[in-house]
Amino acid sequence: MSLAALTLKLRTLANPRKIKILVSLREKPLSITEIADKFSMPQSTVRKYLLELETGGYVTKTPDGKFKAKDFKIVLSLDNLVKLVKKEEEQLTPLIVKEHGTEILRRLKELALQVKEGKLSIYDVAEHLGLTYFETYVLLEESGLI
Amino acid sequence: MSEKPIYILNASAIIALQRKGKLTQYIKDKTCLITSRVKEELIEKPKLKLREIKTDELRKIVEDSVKEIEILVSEGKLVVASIKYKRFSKLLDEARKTIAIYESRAEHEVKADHTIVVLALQKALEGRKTILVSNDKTINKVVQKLATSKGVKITIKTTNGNIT
Repeated sequence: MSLAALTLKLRTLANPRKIKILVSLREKPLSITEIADKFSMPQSTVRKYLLELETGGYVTKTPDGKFKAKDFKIVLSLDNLVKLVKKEEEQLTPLIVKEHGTEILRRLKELALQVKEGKLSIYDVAEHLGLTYFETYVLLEESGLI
Repeated sequence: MSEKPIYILNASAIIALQRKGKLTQYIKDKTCLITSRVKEELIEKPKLKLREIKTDELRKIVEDSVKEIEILVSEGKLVVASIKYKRFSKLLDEARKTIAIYESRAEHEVKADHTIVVLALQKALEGRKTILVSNDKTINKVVQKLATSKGVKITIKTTNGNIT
């Protein structure tokens, strides 16, 4: 996990109401309406929270449109943070961004889900972004998509 | 004594191992095959692009990556294997078709290396113990599907662990 991914994960959970929703989704999948009723919250807020939880990788949608919790484990310790920062310093993404511009990351993000689900090969992403296979693999790996 | 397995390395696995500084060590004492497409993507294409890379540090890193793979190929530690095109032409079509289905696109738009799928199947069909090392989920899914349909066993490994 990258430093950016960790901060996103922690930021996403920095809300007791979201934590309560997440915990309830571990018991059984629920729809937006069911969650809104259960926690007496507006559906728009629930929808926003679920989108954030989904982006953070905490929940996933079921085929019938409900949401269920995904298991995860984050060990937060100074040792782990030191390792993460060290790893970040060795990353090549900043060099690739310097070479090709920040737009590359936005375009990569658009393809992220397809790559993660195995619906798009790394060759396709390289071709799409106009990068070498090496650069593409590094970006995907350092973004936690592989 | 059990038969020595054949390792087929996808471009993603080579880069991943290289990034961990473990490529040379990983392939040591193994029979490791790559396709000419892998060679093209990891040696020939980046070589052509090197002069265009403006960021010195990045150019040096890409150059080092290319050099290491090139040396391993020239020393025969990574062997560029050829497909028996006549014998496996139907399988090549099938591999491309299956990738196209997974990627929801037309066959002619497939960019993934379908030859590596066929190389793995070819070795398994020839009765060799075959291990595909790849971090590309699309390739892994296609190999898994076709190996099952052909009734052969191909072990698929990622650089982080086994899949099958």
